[in-house]
Amino acid sequence: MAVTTPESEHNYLNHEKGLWSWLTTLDHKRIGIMYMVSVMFFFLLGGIFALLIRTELAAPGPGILGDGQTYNQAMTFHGAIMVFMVIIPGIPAFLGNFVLPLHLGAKDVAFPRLNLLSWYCLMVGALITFTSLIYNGSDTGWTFYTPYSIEHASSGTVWVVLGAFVMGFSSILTGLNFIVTTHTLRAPGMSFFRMPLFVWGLYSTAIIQVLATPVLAITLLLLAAERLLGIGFFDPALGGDPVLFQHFFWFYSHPAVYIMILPAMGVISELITAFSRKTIFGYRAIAFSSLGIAAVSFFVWGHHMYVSGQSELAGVIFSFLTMLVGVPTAIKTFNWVATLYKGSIVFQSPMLFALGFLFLFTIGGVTGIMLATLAMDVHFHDTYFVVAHFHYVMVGGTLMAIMGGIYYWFPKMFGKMYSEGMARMSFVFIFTGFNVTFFPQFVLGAMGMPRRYFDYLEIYTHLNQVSTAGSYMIGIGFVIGLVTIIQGMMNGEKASDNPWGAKTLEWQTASPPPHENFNYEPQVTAGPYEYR
Amino acid sequence: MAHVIPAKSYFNVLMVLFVLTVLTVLVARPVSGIDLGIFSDAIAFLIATVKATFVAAIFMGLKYQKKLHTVCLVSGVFFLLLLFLVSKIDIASRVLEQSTL
Amino acid sequence: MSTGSVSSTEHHHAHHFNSAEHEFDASMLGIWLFLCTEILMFGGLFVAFFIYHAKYPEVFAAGAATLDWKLGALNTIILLISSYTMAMGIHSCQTNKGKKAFNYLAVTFVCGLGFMVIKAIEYSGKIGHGFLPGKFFHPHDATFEAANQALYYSFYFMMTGLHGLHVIIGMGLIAWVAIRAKRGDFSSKFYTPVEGVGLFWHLVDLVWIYLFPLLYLVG
Repeated sequence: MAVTTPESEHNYLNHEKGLWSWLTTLDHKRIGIMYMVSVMFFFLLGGIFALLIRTELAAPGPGILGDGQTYNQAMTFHGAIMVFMVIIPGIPAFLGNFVLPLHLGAKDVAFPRLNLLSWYCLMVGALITFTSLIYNGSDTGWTFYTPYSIEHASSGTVWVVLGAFVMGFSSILTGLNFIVTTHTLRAPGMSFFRMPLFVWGLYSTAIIQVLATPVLAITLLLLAAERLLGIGFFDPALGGDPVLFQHFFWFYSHPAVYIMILPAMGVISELITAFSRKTIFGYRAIAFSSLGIAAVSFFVWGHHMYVSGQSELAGVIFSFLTMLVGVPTAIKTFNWVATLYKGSIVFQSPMLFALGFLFLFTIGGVTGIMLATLAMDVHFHDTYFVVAHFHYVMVGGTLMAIMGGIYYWFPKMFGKMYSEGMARMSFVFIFTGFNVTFFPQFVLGAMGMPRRYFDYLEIYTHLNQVSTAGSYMIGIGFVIGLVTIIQGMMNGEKASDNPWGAKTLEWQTASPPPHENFNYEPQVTAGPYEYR
Repeated sequence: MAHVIPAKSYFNVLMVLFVLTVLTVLVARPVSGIDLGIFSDAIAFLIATVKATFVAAIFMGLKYQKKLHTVCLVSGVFFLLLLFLVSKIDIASRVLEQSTL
Repeated sequence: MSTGSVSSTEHHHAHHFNSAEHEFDASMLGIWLFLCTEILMFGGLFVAFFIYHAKYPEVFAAGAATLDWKLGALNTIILLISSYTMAMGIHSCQTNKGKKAFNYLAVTFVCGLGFMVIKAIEYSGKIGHGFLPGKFFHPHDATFEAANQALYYSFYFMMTGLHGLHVIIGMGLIAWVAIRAKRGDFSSKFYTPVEGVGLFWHLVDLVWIYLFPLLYLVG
């Protein structure tokens, strides 16, 4: 089945020329690259807000961001950008779009035009969100809690809410596309259990995207109507219930965090097998655990609401169910470690990020269980403990997986190789910087430092300084990463079709792939990880 | 491509739907004077669900399509039910001191 | 969904599918997934409705009393008929009577129009009385017991408004496929857009099947 085609002159990058050919493309590979550029750009913006926040918090008292009002706007934008424009689309729309059809042996996704539309939804939604800055942005936090978000919040809030609404459609369309693609466009011989685990991750994610995002849509619409028409659903003045807003909001936003992590876990499965040259341990367990996580994720949203005014009974129910979601996650982690055991491990840069993921995500996951525990959460809620937890899973988890995925699939996407030395350096800065930034935040949270505050008590100063220093390290790490990628794209050495010697279908076609993905019709006769 | 449902079936279903609509109106208190008390909400909802089933099964053709399509429809309803039930459990089990909520 | 053909000759399926049948199956799954998202979106409104209806039954009873159930029932009948004509439109395509499909689709469109006309009449009535959502609620000539009566009209306008928007979008889609049907684009070999629009239209009908008793009758 392996075909080593000579470096094809004709590939998807030079199939057509000019900006217009990109903006009107129906090729999933090009759309994936467009998402890459957009997501990287948004990540840069979100990162700048993060550095502003950390700089403000380097010392108590008002700092670079002046006062609480500006700080609240900055932290809202940091959250909204990172959640809606980076981490949710990040892996599915960028890596997923490029790789999924290749993994399945297909020529494209099921609905190429919807695919392009979903990119435009992201861009238009982002534009609407940034338009809010003309009206002082929003200061509600990315969670838009009522009643503050109804009356008192900055006048730009409606713009951010509507921007998020439009971006939601991007997510829905991607999910819809991926489900249909997985069901209908698998190559001959590719049964469900011969699909790469990245596909299982994307498929489970897609289910969540389709089921959860519409509830966010109606929630945001209702919030906009609250601000514009005063409809009163969430406003006590008209008998509305602000906690109901939280139920609606978190019904989406909790499954959303699994939209963020499931594709990342899929990437990790790919990286661990390729770089230990060993078949995955427990393929079906990992596949089913992806589906399991997607399903259970819908039952646990109230763990964000333990101290909101929600009833104790509801809190107990949610706490119990949240413990359950740790189980499939742990199964995956054990299986990855078991895959490493007796593997022929190579520490190339994608593998460094995968191993970093295992370490950081485990810490994030375990602290998640701590937060799931009702009694502990009463102490930790709205403190830096929570901030540290979600950054460990989202940055230590998803972002590490994105970086690993970018380096892994780089030669496939561009037909060139990046500088391994620089990539490793980016890893060292990111990994070290990350721990220096966020580990102290667990301690700060346990000590009682509240989140979303621009100021704090003197006793928190030292750890905040450490944290800020770490954030600059992360910044340097990502800048090195960006330079590595750009330099690789421009001057990188030509890469072979399969520089890693991996077994999944995308490596059995040219780097970069031709417009139609394969010059032959893939026939699948074995599983995806037949190393040994 | 898809199973062709005979035109007669469509017409029959339309007639059934008309009858059920009349029933819906009769069952509601303000109109006919028939008072089913606390059951009127539930019965109105039930009749609506029967109508919806006919529309979905025959007009939309679900009865003759892949099971996966029915799964799509039912999943939507199921997760909605989940949101409703748990929110209701929360609201119903709150212990309020002096609150109007 | 497809590259589509421009004449009444054969439809060419998109390059990444093996056959027209393959493409049709994929399109159907895609549309049903989309309908699932619509159920969840509208459903959010229904969830909020049931929660507040239980909390403030008198508000909802008083509000329902200001609606004309006869107009609501008429609109229900209109939409049911339009679902029938829509299904017959698809049937015509499936049995190679593509041009006849135009007639059925045209009737469906007119039904949609009739629905919106009645809606407009109802809305203008509400506006005239000052029965508006939320902060715009200022009843001219009626008094209500509950201080938060406005909440009912918030629901009324949000639910019927979102539904009405979907009716309008549906009408646009029906006009589009009707024109294509008249051009002879559809046959038993290819009628995917009609099927898709049909499913969307039936969903619009489904939502109204619930809206009518909940807003107009339940009190």
